[in-house]
Amino acid sequence: MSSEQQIFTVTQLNNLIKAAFDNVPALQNLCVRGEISNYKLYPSGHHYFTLKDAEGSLRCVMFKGNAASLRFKPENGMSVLALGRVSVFPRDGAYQLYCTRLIPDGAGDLQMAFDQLKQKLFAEGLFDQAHKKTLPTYPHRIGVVTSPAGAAVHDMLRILGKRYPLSKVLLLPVRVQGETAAGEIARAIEYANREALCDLLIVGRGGGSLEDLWAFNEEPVARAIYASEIPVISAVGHEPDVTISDFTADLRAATPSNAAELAVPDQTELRGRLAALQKAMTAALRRQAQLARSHLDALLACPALKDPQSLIRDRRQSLDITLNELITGQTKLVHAQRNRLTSLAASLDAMSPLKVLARGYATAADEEGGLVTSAASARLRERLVITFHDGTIRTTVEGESYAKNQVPDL
Amino acid sequence: MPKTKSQTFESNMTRLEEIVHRLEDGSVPLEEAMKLFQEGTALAGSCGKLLDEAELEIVKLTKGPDGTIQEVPFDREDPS
Repeated sequence: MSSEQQIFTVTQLNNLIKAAFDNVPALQNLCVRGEISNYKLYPSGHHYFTLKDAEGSLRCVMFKGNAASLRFKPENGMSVLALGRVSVFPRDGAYQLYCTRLIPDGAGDLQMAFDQLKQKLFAEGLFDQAHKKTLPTYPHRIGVVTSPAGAAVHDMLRILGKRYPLSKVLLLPVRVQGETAAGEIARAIEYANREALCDLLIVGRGGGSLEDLWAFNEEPVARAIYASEIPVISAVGHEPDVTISDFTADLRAATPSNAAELAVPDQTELRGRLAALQKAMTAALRRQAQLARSHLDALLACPALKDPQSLIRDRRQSLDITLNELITGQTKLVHAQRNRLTSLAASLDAMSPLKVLARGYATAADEEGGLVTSAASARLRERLVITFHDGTIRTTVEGESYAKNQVPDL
Repeated sequence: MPKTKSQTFESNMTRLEEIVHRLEDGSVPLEEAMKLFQEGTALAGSCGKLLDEAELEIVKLTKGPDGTIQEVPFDREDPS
């Protein structure tokens, strides 16, 4: 070992190597393609991973500050482009990539973020058809969450006014792009629900780039729409633009104008419906009047109403017959009773004491009317009433004479 | 709270549909049917009038100086 030979400490050497790396301009700002492995997110917020290709590997770190710009969640096996600088970590004596930006290889990072959030919310059931609410037929109050500037809001108001000018529109002005947009949109939806502001919400904006529409792909907006008790129509961009909000909304409109068309009935159709209802009403009443008329005709044709006297005649005739029967019956009954009376009278007559008297007998009675039926019971000087068949005489008992066989029982 | 124009329209329309349904059913006595017809005609007229006279009411919700949210008129003709 030569005396001139310098002896390094490990730290000195590592620092020398680090300085050498840091002097290479090509290493200060580079982009490297590889596949993520050993990915780890530390509680500190720093991301650690290894980039690999078929033959080699490279240690990488992405500090919390840089990671804040990540739209998507890095995963093992993902093919990425990592931007940053290569330097040495003296403690480990190892060089690594200090990554400032990570982009999915192939699809853009926004697309990656879109796919990831879509998959996550789908798995949670936020797109379930069963959760979709029915839109009101006649919205009375329509909340519109969008930018108060721009063509979209004016298109919507024009169409709402033309189709169904009876509703009231409540405009909830929000920023629809930029850092704060997602929060503002979500809060406006939550506010409308908290205050029960309206019975329908339209949430959206006009067309723009994927970046411009990004707020509608962010989780807070998607969740606020899902949680809304008020039915939500999402109305973002142009026809081909599909956002996460579209999936969680109760109805997706292709454009803001389309949302206004879907939100309310068209007064032209309503007037047509009114006319049809009036026509149906008239037809129904006419039909019923005709039915009533033919019913009346049928009634008028029946004999009772056609010739009301005939009923009376018929009844009078049967009354006559009945009365005649009654009289005949009555006469017969009287005759029968009279015959019976005659025969009873004859019997009675045959047994009458007057008949006996008429044959020459008489009866004797005392003054009190008691019959004196034997000579023995008659007392001397007693007054008696003798009854003949043609009348009575008064007499006095003058003497007595008993028949030999009629000795008084004294 | 009084009914809004849209609420009146909806209830009139619902009642009108019910009347037409009952008249078409044919089970209502003629005298009542005539009364329903008169009511229906009045409802249809009122619905048409509501549409004729309506103008879309638009308000913007803004935070007032005291932090409460207020309704202010919104000029839809202003394209700015």
